[in-house]
Amino acid sequence: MGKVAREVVEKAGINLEVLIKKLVAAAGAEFTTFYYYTILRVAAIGMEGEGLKEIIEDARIEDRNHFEALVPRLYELGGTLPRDIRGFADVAGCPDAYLPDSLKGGKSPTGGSLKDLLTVLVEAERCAIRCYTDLCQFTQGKDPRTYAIAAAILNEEIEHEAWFSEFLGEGPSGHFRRGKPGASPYVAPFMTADHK
Amino acid sequence: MSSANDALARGGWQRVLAGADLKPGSLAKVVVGGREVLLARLEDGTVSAASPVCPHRGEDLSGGMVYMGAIDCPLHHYLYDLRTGKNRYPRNVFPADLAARLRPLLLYRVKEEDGWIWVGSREAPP
Repeated sequence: MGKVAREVVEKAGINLEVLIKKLVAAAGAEFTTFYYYTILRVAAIGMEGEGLKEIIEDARIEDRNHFEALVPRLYELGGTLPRDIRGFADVAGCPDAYLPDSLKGGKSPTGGSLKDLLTVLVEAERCAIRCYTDLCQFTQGKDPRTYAIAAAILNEEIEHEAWFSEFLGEGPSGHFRRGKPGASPYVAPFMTADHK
Repeated sequence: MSSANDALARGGWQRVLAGADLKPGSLAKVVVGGREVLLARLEDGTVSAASPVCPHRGEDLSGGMVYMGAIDCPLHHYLYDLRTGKNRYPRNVFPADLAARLRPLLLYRVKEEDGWIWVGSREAPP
């Protein structure tokens, strides 16, 4: 924990307890998303599913990178990850991205199981966008380091949403796949582990 | 409730806030009949009145944001439609058994009249 790193943030008027709670929630959302996207990726099979599998993997590994980028900042500010992983999952800042019923033989709310899968994915990214928009607004002008990390993650989450919504046919596509899964062009500078 | 508020209450309605003080996309917490109520000005200019307590885990929704006619809870980012109280997300993506457990957000009757926002003392029917 950095003493001065904490002090400057407090002096700027940020409630550290609230910020740490938001960071733990964000880290929890990334960690659980990495888990749930693993399940969603393995379910993306068949003629249409195989193409979707690539972008799920791109998003999955980048979300794991987001967790890696958040953790050092959390500890710099005097916060900690929860002792129990079950409790950690419980405070995740976004709902769990469960496998849709239609991929387990149940009803489809959209009329197609792959469309249901895409809906889970795009809504999860939209939740992440709201989470990091909130974090950016909370820290802007007061905590440059956390703001920079949150803004970098937000950039990638916005791209993730675009990938999945384009797969749903929403608008012209600005997307092209990453060079390799987990490239994290915005977040890479904040990761402590060498991800290359 | 203060005597000033008693004087303002008529027909079950309580005057709570000047309409001009609630801008589009903003939230304000007021007290009605001893209970906290969260006012929200939606993007289309209409006003909604709801409980400030998230039905999911009890978080204070006044720290949230108005998002496409819904309130976004700052804790887990559940979305509740501010016109119907229904959970919009994650109801639209959860498996049916989990979606069935999602409770709605409590709404209050609300109107805007003569430049003031009025909240009804009774909860709106589901």
